[in-house]
Amino acid sequence: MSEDRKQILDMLASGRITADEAERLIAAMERKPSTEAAPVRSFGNSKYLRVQIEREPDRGDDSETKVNIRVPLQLLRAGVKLKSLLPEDARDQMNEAMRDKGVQFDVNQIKPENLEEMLASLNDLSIDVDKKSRKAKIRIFCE
Amino acid sequence: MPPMLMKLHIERRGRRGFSLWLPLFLFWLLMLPIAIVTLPVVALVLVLLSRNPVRVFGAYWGLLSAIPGSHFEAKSPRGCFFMHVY
Repeated sequence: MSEDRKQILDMLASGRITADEAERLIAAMERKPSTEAAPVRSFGNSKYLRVQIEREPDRGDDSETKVNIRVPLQLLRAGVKLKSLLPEDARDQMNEAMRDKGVQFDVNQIKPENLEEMLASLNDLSIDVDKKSRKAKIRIFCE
Repeated sequence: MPPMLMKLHIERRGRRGFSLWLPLFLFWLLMLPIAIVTLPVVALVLVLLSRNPVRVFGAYWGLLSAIPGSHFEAKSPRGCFFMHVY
């Protein structure tokens, strides 16, 4: 018996959850492995990371501002590989400079597997920015 | 393959824009003799710094080879800028 299942049955035995709840938890637990087994989406088919920014026109202007950036994913991966060649002092200095700017970021944590994970979480990300009645939409996705 | 061509287009409001095709392969041809002369020296320096020259050159080559396909495009009421690397 798995540890999770045992815990659910213990909770049921101690009366902390009802039989219905226990059944739902067990069912959810049984479904969980199939979602966990799904690998972090690899970007084998995707070649580019795309960033699109669209901003509403200013007063008096009729055309909006658009920015469209396409970065090859291979370039990001190559950049991550290059990071490992940086001397430790340089990495520490980069971390310190970013900390000074208020960015809590550790360059040492950038690894190829982390990059894939980050891209997976960024996939088809859409951010709406509303600043002083001017709206902008930022869209990040892989293609 | 490193980037071979780059297309630039710049346009300002009220003015006629212009496009530029930059033949980057000519730059690599010019750089080749310099690279042949300097590579052994750079490799020696890397060995002295306890770095693997093959790994370092490989990483830089990988970075260069990944640049083609990059695209940047910005359009605003003031004008537009377009850059594509082939």
